[in-house]
Amino acid sequence: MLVLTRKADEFLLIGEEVEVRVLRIEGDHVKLGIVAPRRIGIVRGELIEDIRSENVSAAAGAVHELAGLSAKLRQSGLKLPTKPGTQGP
Amino acid sequence: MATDSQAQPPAPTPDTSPARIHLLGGLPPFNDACDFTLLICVEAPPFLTLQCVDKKLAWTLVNPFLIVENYAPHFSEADWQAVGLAPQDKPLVLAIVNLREGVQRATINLIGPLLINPATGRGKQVVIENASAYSPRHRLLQD
Repeated sequence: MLVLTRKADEFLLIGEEVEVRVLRIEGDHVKLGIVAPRRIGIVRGELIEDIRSENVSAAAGAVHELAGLSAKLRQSGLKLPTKPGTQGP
Repeated sequence: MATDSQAQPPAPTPDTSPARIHLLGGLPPFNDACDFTLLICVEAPPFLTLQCVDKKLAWTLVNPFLIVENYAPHFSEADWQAVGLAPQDKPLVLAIVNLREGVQRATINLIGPLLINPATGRGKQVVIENASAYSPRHRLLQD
């Protein structure tokens, strides 16, 4: 990992298309501005972590309980489409 | 790019083989798990099973629009294009169901749905742009 120290208003260029600028430093918060082409996704790291841990936790769990879950969902008022594959909104 | 409407899951082919899905980048951290069959759980509507064809991995999926009123995920242009969707196309959006803590505590991941091109089966697990509006562990049942 490359470690740099930046002050407010200083910036970094990553490759030829991505710019990261420190806009403001307030207490323990850093406000960053990022310029990048739309095809490059920018995502908060904790969301990626959440998704990874959910994928692991959800893998092949308790499939035999699905019929029970299906019944409870319908009891709670879930409307299923009358034609299979008709999905809204 | 918001989703106005939902396509139906790819229908099984006439010889009743299940639909095939290819997920770009797999399901992290299982980045090599890219090729799947998608089967409707006939005994447990509205759930679906996503079964990896070359690894012993499977997930349960559900249409999040059935579960969450007004679910309105915003997809990035990059993700939309990555799965080959044109701007006016209707995607197939499916959320992963987590049953690790049993039926009563079952949840679905609304921030990391699968965005799938229903015409080709090409898809990707994406992070929606309005992730702060939803939870990765949305409860299906009330206590």
